[in-house]
Amino acid sequence: MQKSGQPVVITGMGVVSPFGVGVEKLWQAVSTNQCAISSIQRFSVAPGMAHLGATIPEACLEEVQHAYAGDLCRWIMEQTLAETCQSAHLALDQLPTLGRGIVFFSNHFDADVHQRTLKEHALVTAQGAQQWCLDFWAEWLQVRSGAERGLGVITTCTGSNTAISLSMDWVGAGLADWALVGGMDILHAEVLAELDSVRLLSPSGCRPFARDRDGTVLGDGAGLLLLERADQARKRGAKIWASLPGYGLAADTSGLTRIAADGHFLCQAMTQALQHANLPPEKIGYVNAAATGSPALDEIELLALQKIFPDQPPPISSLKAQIGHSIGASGTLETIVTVLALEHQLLPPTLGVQLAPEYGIDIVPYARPHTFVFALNNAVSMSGHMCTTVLQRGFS
Amino acid sequence: MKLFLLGVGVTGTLPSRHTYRYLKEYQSEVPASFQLPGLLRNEQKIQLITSAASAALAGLNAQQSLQSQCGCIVSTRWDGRFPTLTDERDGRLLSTADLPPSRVALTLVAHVAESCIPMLFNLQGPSCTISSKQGLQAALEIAALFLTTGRAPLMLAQEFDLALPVNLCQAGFEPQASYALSVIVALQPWDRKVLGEIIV
Repeated sequence: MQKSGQPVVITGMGVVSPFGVGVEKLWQAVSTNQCAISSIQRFSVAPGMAHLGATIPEACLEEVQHAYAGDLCRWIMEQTLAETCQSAHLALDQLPTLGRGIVFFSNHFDADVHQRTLKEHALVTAQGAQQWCLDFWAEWLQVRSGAERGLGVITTCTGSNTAISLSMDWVGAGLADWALVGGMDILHAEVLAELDSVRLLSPSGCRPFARDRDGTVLGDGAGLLLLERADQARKRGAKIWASLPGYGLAADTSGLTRIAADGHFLCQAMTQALQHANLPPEKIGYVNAAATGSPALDEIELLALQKIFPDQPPPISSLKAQIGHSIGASGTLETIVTVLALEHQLLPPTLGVQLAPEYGIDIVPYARPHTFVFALNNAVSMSGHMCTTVLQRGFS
Repeated sequence: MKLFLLGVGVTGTLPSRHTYRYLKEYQSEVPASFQLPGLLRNEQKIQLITSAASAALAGLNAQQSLQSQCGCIVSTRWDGRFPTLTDERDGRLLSTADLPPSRVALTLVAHVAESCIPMLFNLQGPSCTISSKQGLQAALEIAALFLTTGRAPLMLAQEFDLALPVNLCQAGFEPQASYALSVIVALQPWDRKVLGEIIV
């Protein structure tokens, strides 16, 4: 596999998470082992349905009501975009001065639009229909940022990682000078009903890799990254948060909504990512796992990790125990946390994990210091789409 | 960049705005089931998508090893999630809570095409679903990146959309009928009949 061209680096990050607005709030909470999962208060949950979620703090919702007429998604997008530009030391209107831009954005479900259409309009209107377009938020970002193109990436749970991977190729090949990449998904009664009906949700909490895990918990989340070519970022004196040396994509052909039990296709994605980054497995110092708390998926990921790292797998953890699963946004949030873990040399935890010595894998129960330069970030969707990205501390 | 066009498959009716109208010569006879109003049943949605892919891949079946490394990229803007979850009598939206789980699971998975095409045709290359106004053109641009970086020797690129609700079609909005357009592209002919060339 050939390199896609110039090295690509992360120069800006913005996030809205269940811990509030901002990258610092997310990291502070994650690194001190806090959990944002509780009973859902934002809407009523039907009796018998999973009732847990990781939602944006109530205090934020007041601002949404006052300043954005209750349009939660737009508020979230504005917050993440503003922080991303701020962390890149750019004003929003300066982005086009970096050259040609592109947006890759992952969004599974615009809950706000659906809620309003159901409650207020009832009938599908032309305006409503436009907002149902799968690339609606990608186009919104394109217009707001002055990018030339805006593409939606709609592979649900792997959407963010895939968006990051495509941008890596696109910017690296010189087809664009910068890329805004990320995802957003909001916990909503319809999504809850959808995933509860296929029995993916836990009634008791999200405990990735725990022996008594019984499903995942959904969460609110949105994240954005600004990607640039390394030479351009250096030239303008930007802070380089991390570099992106490689990625791997694989399609599980074993079933429509089933994943191969031996982890073959996840291995394929991780192997490709390592080859693309030209790294031997032993260089990887940490894996941010896709683990959702699903009894089957977590087991498959552990098997795949054992195959890729036959001697001693690096420490692994899953953020979903703290912030839930934000579907299209989860990969961006996990990337941001991994970047900060590399920056602070501190491993994020997997809250609630009971160590499984039979696998011989170090699943980090509480945040702890660790020296490492490279990390993997896995993402798996229930349709069998796999995407692994490699992250490197800084740039060398 | 020049891509060799090695296969084409079309189901349904391409919208009149479509950039690749010259591919209409490959258009198959449209089965009536693809013109369903309102809720497009999952089985028919998958049939629409996979029929186009099957027609495009038809000429490659003799070379299974090549096909197995083929990647898949799908571009769609109207995939039949909520705009088609309507009651045809009054255009009212249906809630997912009103639907049986089996329908919810597949109707709402946006990347069902990307999932079922690799599974049915054993395409083990990279796969991805995007959404773009540029439709097939955007899919081909990403296919070209995968081809040039050696991620796959062959790419299946597909654009599909499912018909919008009747009340929107009456107001002139497209797509008015469901369709899927698949092409197989590569950087070299692979000893296959070349149907044309596409500049990306």
